[in-house]
Amino acid sequence: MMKKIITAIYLILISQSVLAQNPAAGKSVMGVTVFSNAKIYVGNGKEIVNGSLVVENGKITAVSEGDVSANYASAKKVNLGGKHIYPGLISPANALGLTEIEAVRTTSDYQEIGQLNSNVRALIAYNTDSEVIPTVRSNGVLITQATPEGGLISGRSSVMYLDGWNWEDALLKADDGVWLNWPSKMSNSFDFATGTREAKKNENYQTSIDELNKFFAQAKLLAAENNIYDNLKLSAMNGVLKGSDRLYIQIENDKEALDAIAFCSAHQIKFPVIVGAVYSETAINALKENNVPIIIPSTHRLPAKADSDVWEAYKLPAKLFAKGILVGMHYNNSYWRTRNLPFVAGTAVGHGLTRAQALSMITINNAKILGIDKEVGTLEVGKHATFIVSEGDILDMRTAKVTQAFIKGAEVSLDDKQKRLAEKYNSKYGIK
Amino acid sequence: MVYPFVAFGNASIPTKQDLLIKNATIWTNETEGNITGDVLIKNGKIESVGKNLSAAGAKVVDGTGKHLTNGIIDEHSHIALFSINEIETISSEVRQEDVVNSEDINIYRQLAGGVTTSQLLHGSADCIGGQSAIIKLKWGETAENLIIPNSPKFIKFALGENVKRGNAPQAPNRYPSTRMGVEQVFNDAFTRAIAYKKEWTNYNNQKVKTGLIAPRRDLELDALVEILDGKRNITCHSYVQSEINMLMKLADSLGFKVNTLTHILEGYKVADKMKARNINASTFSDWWAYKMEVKEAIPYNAAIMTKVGVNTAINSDDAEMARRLNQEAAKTILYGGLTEMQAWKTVTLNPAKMLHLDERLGSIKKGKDADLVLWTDNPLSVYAKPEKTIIDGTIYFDLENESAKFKSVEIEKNRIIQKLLLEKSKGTPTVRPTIRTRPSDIHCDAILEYDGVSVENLDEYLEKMNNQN
Repeated sequence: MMKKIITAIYLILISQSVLAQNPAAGKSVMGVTVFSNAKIYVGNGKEIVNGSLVVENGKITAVSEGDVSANYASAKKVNLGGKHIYPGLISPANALGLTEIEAVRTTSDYQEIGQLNSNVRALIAYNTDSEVIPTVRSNGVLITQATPEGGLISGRSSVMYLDGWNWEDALLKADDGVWLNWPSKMSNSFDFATGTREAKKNENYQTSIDELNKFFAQAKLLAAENNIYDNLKLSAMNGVLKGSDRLYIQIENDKEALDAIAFCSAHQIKFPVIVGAVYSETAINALKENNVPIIIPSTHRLPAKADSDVWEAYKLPAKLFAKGILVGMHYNNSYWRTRNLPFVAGTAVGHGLTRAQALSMITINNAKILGIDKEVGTLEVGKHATFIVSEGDILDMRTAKVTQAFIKGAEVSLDDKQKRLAEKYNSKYGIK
Repeated sequence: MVYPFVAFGNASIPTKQDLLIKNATIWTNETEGNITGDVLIKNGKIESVGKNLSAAGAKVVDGTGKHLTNGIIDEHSHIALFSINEIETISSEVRQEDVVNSEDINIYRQLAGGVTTSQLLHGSADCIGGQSAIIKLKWGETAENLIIPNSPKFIKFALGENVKRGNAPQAPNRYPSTRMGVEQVFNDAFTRAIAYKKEWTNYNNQKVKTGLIAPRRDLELDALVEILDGKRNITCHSYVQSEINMLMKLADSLGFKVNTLTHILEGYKVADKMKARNINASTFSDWWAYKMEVKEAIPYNAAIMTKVGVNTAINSDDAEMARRLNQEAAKTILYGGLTEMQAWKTVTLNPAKMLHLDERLGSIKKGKDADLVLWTDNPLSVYAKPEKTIIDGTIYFDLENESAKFKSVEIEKNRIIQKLLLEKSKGTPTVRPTIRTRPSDIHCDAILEYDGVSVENLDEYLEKMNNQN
């Protein structure tokens, strides 16, 4: 009897703990599935008003006009009833999965101590059990770049899927690039005596740049000598120097962007990426002339100065697109707000961008910049079947409603902790 | 750029005009819902709403294909203030009305986002914070003229991590440091206020006052007595159900009412209790996970509270978010499936009601204040932006003039720089400009600060000041 009670209690506890966990990772599907009767946003600017998407063994094998399901006799058929299909959204430069509760320091794993941390890897800290991840996935973000912060060289990022049993499962591209925090030319100081704030010249600016120059030169020399001795920090730069990895440079202002671009030319960096906002003609032209892509922060920012254009940040995407620069967008505010990525891209549409351009910032452009465009970013034959289904325009919170998501053909659960809490209290009050 | 004397200031004080907005989709927030028609504004008020209106002398604005709504009302804002937080646990004597900054650029930026009215709240460092200022964003007017005349009286209360200094870098060094202590702070304050009120009542009831000493006036308790008398409304910063429940019970037992629970991210857990007491809710659309006490916050909160019958608003608490409260309202459609009309009311009629200003604001109806926004698109859409923002019949933001205005800012800036350079070239001694600024992204959950210094570093700051003297 006692044993039975204990077992019963145990089972109750088990079932409750299961409920409190993230949903299980999606199961991969073998064979062919045809999704028909859908509006397909291919992601390269092309839109198919009524089309079909054919998926086989996790890859896209056809994207066609009209209903082609009759051509696939033994396929599983899904009629989407006019819903929209988009490529899974890509969120670069983010701490999602690296921290859980922002103000609770012990939950944070994105900033190592020290200045030169090229060897640290965000990959192994990426927590697939983070309860924040499913909430971001719910709005269509299926790929994140787990990114370290802080210091001069913060570490290396990895591109992760927002589903998986562990980081190995969730991995899309390991150690895709090194993150450099470009020093700021100005530093803000607060003078206690007068109660005033003053923007002062950063006296250590040149020292920091010298340090970076030396570090890159040393890394290059060691690589040229076939890494004759082990130096974890220097050899972590090999990929950047060879051109297989990106060098992401976070900048505060246009002047620093110019210095960073010049630095990359001097060190013959093959894939530099500027991360931040630039506004001046000079800085924008420098991006263009040096063929450097940029990942800009969310439109939902205040103007830099009191006398800046009120909609400075909202207009920036259109300004950069007009110059023919490769523009991606990241959600620069708190990681838990990243579910707003489609909406901050959409906000630029009221300010000169087309909807297709807005979508491209957070799909194909981000994919190109991160070097994952062979696998994801558009719905084209040969790419991963990583896509979302929505009842309406996903760039607009008024109409967005993601009803299904697929990663490499596997349907991902769209359940999350917040939906479960809503359910729980809906049932308490007898509402829907 | 004189009114106010900062970038984007007006050349002259904007003036009232009679306007006839024709053929727009009108979001009335009244029983008739959305209609296509005209609105006539006369002498700062809505004169009539209908079809085929005409009025001699009124300026006609074509609203074809556009949407006309009420101005957005932000229940929880900290813009346009010189100071946010006092540091006493009970600061009920301080008044935000005394520190309104009519030159804050965020006023103009928010007009450009369709906001017309904001409650400027005290911060949340204290269990009992200061008294609110409720303003209209009349860019170019003096601080005094921004404040709505005879606006209902409000005061900020706060619970949870901020008042117990839970996220302070150092160990908390002030009572209370637990939710247990927070209850006792309120209990003690109102016990004193009840005694104080009694003292004054006894004194006032004495017909002959010769030889009697009047009770000592206490400004802190005066404000609490106003609460007990129902003359001042509480807006309480609150997150988790335990503390919310506590405050509701305490208010019941001590005989005061809680008007609004602001933030109220676990409101969905106590919506029935709030409904029973007719308490309003003013919340964020989708914030969570930024600190321990919001780990069970859900974006469905506003929708659940609305469905239970709680009057619910979406607020900003943040100068950036306030520029797009229309988008925040729309998220209640995505999370929880409110109708478009319900969603729109969360930033217009509902906050008007909880501020007791719905007689004047919050719907498009004859006789109400002409605080209106003409939008390029459905106001709940991410693609919409305001074309005109009107307060009391005066156009304070006009998209038509926006680029010319920005150009004039650039010209003026360049003119000043050239003057400075000219002086410098003549050998005039130069000084580095110092800017006395506060970060513009201050909100409740930013580092709580006192004159640019966080509360946690205040001792150090004062010590340094003293050493210098």
